[in-house]
Amino acid sequence: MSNPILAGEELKKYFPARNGTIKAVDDVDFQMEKGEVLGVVGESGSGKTTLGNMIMGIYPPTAGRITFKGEVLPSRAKDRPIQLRRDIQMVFQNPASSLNPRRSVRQTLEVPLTATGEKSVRQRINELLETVDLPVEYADRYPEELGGGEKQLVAIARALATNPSLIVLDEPTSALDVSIQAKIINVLMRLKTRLSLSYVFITHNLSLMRNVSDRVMIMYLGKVREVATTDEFFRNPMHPYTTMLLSSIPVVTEAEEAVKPQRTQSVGEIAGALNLPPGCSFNPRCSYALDVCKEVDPPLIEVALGHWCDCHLYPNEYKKT
Amino acid sequence: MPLLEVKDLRVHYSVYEGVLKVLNGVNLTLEKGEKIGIIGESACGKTTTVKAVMRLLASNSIIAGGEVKYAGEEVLKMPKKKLSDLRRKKMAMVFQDPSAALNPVFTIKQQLYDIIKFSASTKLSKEETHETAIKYLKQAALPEPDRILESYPFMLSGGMKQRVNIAMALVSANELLIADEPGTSLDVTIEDQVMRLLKKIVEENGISVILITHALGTVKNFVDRIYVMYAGMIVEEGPTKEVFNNPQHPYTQMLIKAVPKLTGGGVPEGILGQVPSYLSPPPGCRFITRCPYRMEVCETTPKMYESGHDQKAACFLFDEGHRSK
Repeated sequence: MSNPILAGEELKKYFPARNGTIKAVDDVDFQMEKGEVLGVVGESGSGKTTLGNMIMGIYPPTAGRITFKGEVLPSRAKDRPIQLRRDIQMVFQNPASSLNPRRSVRQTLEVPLTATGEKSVRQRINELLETVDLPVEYADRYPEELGGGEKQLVAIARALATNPSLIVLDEPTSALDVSIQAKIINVLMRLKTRLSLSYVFITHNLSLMRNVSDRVMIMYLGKVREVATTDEFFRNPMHPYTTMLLSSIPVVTEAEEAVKPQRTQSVGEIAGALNLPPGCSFNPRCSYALDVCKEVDPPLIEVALGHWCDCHLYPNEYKKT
Repeated sequence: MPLLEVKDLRVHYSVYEGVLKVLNGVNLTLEKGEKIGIIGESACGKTTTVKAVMRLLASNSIIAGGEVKYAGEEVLKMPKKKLSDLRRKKMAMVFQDPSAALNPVFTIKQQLYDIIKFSASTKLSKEETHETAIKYLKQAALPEPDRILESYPFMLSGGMKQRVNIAMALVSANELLIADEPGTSLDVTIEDQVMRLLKKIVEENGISVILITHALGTVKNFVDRIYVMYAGMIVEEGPTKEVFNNPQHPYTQMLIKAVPKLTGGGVPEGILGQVPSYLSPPPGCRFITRCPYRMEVCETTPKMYESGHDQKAACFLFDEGHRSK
């Protein structure tokens, strides 16, 4: 990737806890191109939301740096120039709690517009509502008068208000019904093309990622375990954790059943973030664990072109030279 | 005689704004040893239906009509004593949120012992109670049951809490287990484990199951028959395989189509609009506001029409007179 819009280098975020340190994100490297949808997938506690929050400058990283359009991002949002803050926006998981119930849609959308010095606020609000397929009359409604999907569309309109080029989507549809999810995703994908946006799409839903992302990045206990383009990822999932994840997905059609890996069945639970197992953090649940897995954490290596995986099963001869 | 028979059940809720007419004539039957699933979007009356079966409805609910027969006996008018026997020995429920279903200020031991003592027919000694508790925890595949007994809920992970809830339900669910979204709040790998465990237990013990979920994939691998619910009405019923491979009602078709597929192919359109308000629901078919095939006749209530393959759908498209369209 020659000219990434966003890249993280050796990113770490540790939280002090009463009896130890929680390594929420531990040495994560990633890159994404302009116009790309990068799917960040993992279970609860995998560090995916922490990663999103670091991109937004909500948490400063403990170590490492994030570059955006070739320049290092100041780690805290308040240290970022206004242009940068405009350029990176976020949509949160639960629209019921990310919208202020005391503010009408108009008042909600006014905040980012006035903060960035927009002149024709009224007209821009109408434009924004049209962009996300909501009737302009909705400007004077309050969140309680909207359905869950409509609330999320307002949250998307709010993120678009500053004309960003990168949006961090943190589980934007997981609080919604599947019939509504489809609508939100379609709006998001249409906007991406129309406004040439890039998305960091954080989710636990791999079926959804199959259909929206260009690349998938699997996280487990703060580490990236596998990265590949979506087609390659689903054709040839490599990491044992990935195959376990894929085999656990409840699917609807026989065709989907056929593409699920059959050889791995889900066992065990994600380890506590305070007592990470030594070596590869997945080894207690892994049915292929070798002795070395309990001692050495494998490095992320390029196993096939553009397909990175950190697992001792994939030997060194594949290692990028 | 079926184990459970719900006939034309109508449940309303009285709220400040008026009366929410939620269940609008729900019919379902469950044979002994059978596993059925109720699927549909949020707020379609799935939980209200099973709460009526357990007689756990909120105090502002009004049973406006219908009957619930458990092994031939009317549950809705059952005297307290008898109902209590039913809940002690026959049926129990696993709730959606495992954290909310456990009391945070008591240990698992205190909570599980209570249930064991409640459901036992004779007075149990301390040792017997303990043994029974260990037996059920082991059945729910919980490692180190002795440690679990001494734990408070916050000391356990979500998956373990849900297993504890399953163990508690199994104490009383000798005939019928109602599982209301048992895996929804869990991670996908844990949900997979919990559902596989649950299926194994109920099949080994011949327990009948009503599984409620909005996750279509989960229900597909679990149940024998499916009821699809929309806005307080059963719109389709049939064998699981048929409903998934050959959905009849427009709602079922659109719902299954809206699920993003692991095989790719993009995200489909979904179902525009939302579930109608229960304050003044449409008088006829309640799906009329979102249905692409709506006709004039849909303003009257459709009955369940046979649509082949043992399936039934509450839609006028399956009525001979209207099929021309």
